[in-house]
Amino acid sequence: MATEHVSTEPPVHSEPLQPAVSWAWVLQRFTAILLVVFLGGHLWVEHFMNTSVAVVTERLRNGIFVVLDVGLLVTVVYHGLNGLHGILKETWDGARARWVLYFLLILGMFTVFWGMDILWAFLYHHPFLVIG
Amino acid sequence: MFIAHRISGLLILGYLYLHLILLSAVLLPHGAKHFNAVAGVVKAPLFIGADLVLFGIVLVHGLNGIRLIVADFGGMIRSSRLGIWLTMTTAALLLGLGVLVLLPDIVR
Repeated sequence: MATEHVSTEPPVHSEPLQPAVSWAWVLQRFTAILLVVFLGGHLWVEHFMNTSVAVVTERLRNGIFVVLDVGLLVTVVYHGLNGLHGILKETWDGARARWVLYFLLILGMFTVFWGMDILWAFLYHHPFLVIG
Repeated sequence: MFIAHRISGLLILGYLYLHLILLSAVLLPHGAKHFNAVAGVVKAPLFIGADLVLFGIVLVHGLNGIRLIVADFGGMIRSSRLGIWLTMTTAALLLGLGVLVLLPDIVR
């Protein structure tokens, strides 16, 4: 009869431990500071706007808002998914961790394109968008 | 604070996708009509209240994040009582400010 052995030892990592300061570590902090600015601005701007398609399209005619919105989108997706990766890689190691990383990379690219498609819909009138 | 940072982070990531799903109303056929309808629904007091809860979660995550960055680069102790106290007090003050700003939209 098979008995399940539950180890109380910490998991043994097959790879060397991550260096204390990695690019991901630096970028997580860099995007954190950017997010304070981008998200603060986003909340401020949207609060004083009576949101509708016409108003958003008008706002996005000013190119600086396109830059700010795409900037917010990219930083929030990187920061959020890298944060999730940090949590997940503590539970999963080895091959599964790499699989999770690839999945999150694809999810991140998909999310950025999704957000851009929404922005582009306001800007260039998506094929489906019928105004009026 | 370690656990609070992770839970608030996951909640905000979840909200990001909810936010994108709601905004995607604009991608439906006759998107302008659907988007404006969604924009009308989320103006309801219940949703403004939910926005304030979200604002509180964002404040805790953001201010605690600033505290951690200051600790990493400025030589403050990561679990410093003063740092945590400052974080929570600032979060409470800014949330109070948010409540004052949004109160006219809740009580109409």
